[in-house]
Amino acid sequence: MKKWIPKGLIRIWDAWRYRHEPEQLRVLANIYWRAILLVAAVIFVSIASYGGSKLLEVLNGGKDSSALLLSGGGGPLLLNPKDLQETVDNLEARRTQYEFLAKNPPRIADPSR
Amino acid sequence: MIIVWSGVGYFAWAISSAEAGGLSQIVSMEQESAEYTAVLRQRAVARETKEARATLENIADADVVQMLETIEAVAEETRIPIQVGQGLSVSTSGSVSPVRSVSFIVEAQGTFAQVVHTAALLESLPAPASFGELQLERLSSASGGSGQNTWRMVARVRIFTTADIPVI
Repeated sequence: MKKWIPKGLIRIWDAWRYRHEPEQLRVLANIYWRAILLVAAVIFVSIASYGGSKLLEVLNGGKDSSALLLSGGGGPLLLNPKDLQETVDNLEARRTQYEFLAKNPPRIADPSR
Repeated sequence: MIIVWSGVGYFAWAISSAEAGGLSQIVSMEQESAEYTAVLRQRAVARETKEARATLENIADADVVQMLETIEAVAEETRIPIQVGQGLSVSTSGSVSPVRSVSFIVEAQGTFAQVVHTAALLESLPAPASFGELQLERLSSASGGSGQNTWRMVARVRIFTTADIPVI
């Protein structure tokens, strides 16, 4: 059964069992120190990866948002001066036509005659 | 060790929050700039079209009385009596649009030339209007006409307005 267990774990187990002995305590302290170093390395790599991904995200996202803002500032106006002037011109033309017809009635023969 | 790593975490958080704050500040400044530009454009357009808008408002803001006066002015030009039989106010394009319209049934009676003249003037009223159905009928002596050359005209005229007219 002990054959399948890694030697490192057996060593740790033995050191824990005889931790009251200074030599085994030194082994435990050494393992503890290496574990701390390993955890620190994992945390460092994780933070570096997370920071890099966030940096890339910010760089890409920054470009998109500025483009959106630049395009959003030039929206269509609700009031179109060209359409307004065209409408006013059409109404003026109607008035002119009305005044012309008032003075110059259409000459159409009476069909009953 | 924990304190050192806490310091690293705090430092990273401080940088991240400062970066986010700077980014949001830039975004809000750009938004303010875009809104300011849009407001300037609208003001420029409003200043530029002030006269045209006033003209359009004078023409298009007629109430029912002014519409009737416009139609009756046709009678003064053609010198035949005009009767406005019915007026129906309707909203043109939903409740959002301020444009309303009133449909009038206009009747006139006179010689053929007078009736045609009346129809021509109604078609080109100096107002935002559309000329719909037109019926011309020659009246015989038995149906009340004064002579064989008397004609009767019935037309539907629709006048558009932005005045606050109750919609039926």
